[in-house]
Amino acid sequence: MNVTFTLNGKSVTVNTEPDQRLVHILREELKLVGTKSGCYRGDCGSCSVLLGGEMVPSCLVPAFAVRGAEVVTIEGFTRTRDYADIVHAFEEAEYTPCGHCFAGRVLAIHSLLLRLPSPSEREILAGLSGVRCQCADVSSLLRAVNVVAYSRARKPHGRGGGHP
Amino acid sequence: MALQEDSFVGDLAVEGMLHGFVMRAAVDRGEILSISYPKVPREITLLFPEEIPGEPALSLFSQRLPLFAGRAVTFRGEPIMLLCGPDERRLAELAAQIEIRYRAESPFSFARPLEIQIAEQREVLIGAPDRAFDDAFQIVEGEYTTCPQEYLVSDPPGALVVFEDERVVVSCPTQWPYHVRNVVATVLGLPRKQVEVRVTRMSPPRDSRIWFTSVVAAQCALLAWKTRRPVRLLLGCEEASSVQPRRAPSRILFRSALDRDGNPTAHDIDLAIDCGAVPLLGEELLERALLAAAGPYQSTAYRLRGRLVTTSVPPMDAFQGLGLAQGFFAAETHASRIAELTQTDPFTWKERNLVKRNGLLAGGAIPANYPPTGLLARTVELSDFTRKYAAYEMLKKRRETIRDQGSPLRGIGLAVAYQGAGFITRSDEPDPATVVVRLEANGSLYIMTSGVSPSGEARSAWSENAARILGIELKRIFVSEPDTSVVPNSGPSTLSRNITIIGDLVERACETIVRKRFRAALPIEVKKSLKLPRANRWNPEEHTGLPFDRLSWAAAAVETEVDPVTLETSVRGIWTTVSCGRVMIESAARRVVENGIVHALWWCSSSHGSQRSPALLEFPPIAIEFLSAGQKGWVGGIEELAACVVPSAYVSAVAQATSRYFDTLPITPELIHRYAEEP
Repeated sequence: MNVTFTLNGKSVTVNTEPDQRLVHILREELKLVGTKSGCYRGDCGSCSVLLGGEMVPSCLVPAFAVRGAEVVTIEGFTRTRDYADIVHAFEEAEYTPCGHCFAGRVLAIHSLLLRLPSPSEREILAGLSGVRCQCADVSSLLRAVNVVAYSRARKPHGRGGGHP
Repeated sequence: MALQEDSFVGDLAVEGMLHGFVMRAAVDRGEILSISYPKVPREITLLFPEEIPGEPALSLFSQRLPLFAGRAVTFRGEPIMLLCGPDERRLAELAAQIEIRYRAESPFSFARPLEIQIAEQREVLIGAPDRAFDDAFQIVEGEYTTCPQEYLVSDPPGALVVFEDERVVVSCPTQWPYHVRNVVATVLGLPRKQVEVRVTRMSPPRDSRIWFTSVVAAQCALLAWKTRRPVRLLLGCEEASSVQPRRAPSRILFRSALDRDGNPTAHDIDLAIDCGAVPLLGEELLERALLAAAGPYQSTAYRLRGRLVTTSVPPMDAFQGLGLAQGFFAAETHASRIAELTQTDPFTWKERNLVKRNGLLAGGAIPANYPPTGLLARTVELSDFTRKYAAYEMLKKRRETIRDQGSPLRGIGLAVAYQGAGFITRSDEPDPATVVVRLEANGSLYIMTSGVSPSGEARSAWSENAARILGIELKRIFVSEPDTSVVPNSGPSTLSRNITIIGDLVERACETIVRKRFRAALPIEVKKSLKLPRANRWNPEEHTGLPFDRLSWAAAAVETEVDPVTLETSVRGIWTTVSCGRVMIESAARRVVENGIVHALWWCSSSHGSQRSPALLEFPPIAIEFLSAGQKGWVGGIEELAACVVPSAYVSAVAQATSRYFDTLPITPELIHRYAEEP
């Protein structure tokens, strides 16, 4: 079947099986390898994307479910100022995710701070628990999220914004 | 082929690439009677073991692991044949139609091993243990068991192999590129120089990719050889979880003779390690486990017996520590038991018996360096151990049953252990580790080593050290990518080995450049190789000499609380004190220890088969303090320390919280329930 959806701000059409996983379409057909494939159970969060603005594990999203939807991958998200905020905070907090969980961590922080602009430590841990990776460096990750939250709170308009 | 600098192997794709698939044994042990399959579509290729042009096995030091089952299956998941094709779905569909008939046999178990399962055994007698037991005031016995620990797979193992003219180019996530090169060359029957290995990006491998990637790369290379097309073989997460090697399970029996003051005078230790179907790295595993089981304490007489038991599971691996963690779990849990039975505070007992300057380690070995004064005391101070221990003892005595909800079920445990560096010195090559450092005429410095540094800590350490010695700006120091066509063989890479052995070689090479700098013309290239120590060489038969080049020490206190209803254990806090010589980059060192603690806790509490990384909410508060040794001097490894100290402290804490004596890993709510029900 042909599936048409908006990917990182542009309309794309792919010919695929209706039950093909979105992560497979993104990585193997559209060569967007920033979204990683991991557990294929929705556990690890390394395949996270934004689907209609919500963070979802793309390994559990079948092709037919994205018809007409808006999908943002980490490649699209890197063009936003929200991304720049987060990566700057990673550097400031000396937080270095392993690369496999990078997209998941960035999108999870983004989603968390949209819901809770100044989260508590427990809210951060709960909000980011959907991304499980063996590289987790909790102290630095907590620092990084706090740096983003603090810097956004000081900006006159809050978030950096700029969705693709 | 365009290999992106920071690509994982799963991100790599080349024109015309085929996907590989491994058909695996579905029984634990048995004989393959027949393999039948439907008509194979033209685009799919099958490869059977008899087609292999070279040696169908992986060699690691003196051990040999067959790459395929042949007729006899020795473990579930053992490769039987390979498939490849352009479409992964079609490949999986065909694989599902391949029918393999077996004559299943009873698997070899670790619990009751047969004589033929013993791959190696060792016995060491030091002093006169029999006399010490005859004269003992008290004898304490215990049996300690540990479960396998699985690697938490983030990025799946895999390889991409491309035949380029006369060369075979292998891209894969490995900790030992030269081992991949040698195995692929051997399997294909090619000269080694015709195989080039490029290391792809990987998550921190925790020593899971020392030899296992060589297996995957060899399988992938065979498919590429047969089809003459590029092939990528990626293992699925569950597939990897079931066939990847694990931390070896252990069972250790202790008998300790004590004097009137509760101090040990002799130990009789009987240790068995489950090494899986083939004892790869078994010698190191057994030796390190024996050393650690003998403990960090002083004593005068020992009988140490160790056995490697082969079983019907995939071969076990180095994991981090190569047996140290299993040995220390037993030694430290047993020490806590002795302290309790002799009615001594664990801190007092451990501090009193910890090896002192000029003493020998339990087991007869000379420590490369001694635990620093105050290691345990500082941990006790940070964690408020003495007060908490006394308070929880009081609560324990007042509590009638574990289900008594009147008071929290809390406990605290304390453990101390070491990690050694420079143990693996065996090699298939003449030089077990070599690095080359070159100072160019333009002032740039190149460090060439096949040491792989997935998280970048080791690369930063090498560069910063070189910058300090040579007074060169960091931005002018370059560490070559670990590509076997460019860099020398530096042996297997672990973080500790990278920091200690490779770090030392880089440092020595830079010091040589300093001496030559204004006498010789640029560029100056210096090659340094590991040399074994001449004095105090380790004698594994008699347990004399220096087993490690240097020791890092750690102590940890773990405080736990057990829910009286669900019997789930939560960790209230972990306090760790580390002495590892010079700390090169403190933030990185802290990250390594913290990550080690999280993985150690996962080993303590997760039941076998739950292949899942811990969620962030499960992470406890962790305090880490480095006992500073200044800015100069030796650097020790740290990545194995947490696995050596945290488990026994955790178990002691749960034991105090529940008033039950635990001696096994993992501790699950089901196990606590079972122990609580016992009279």
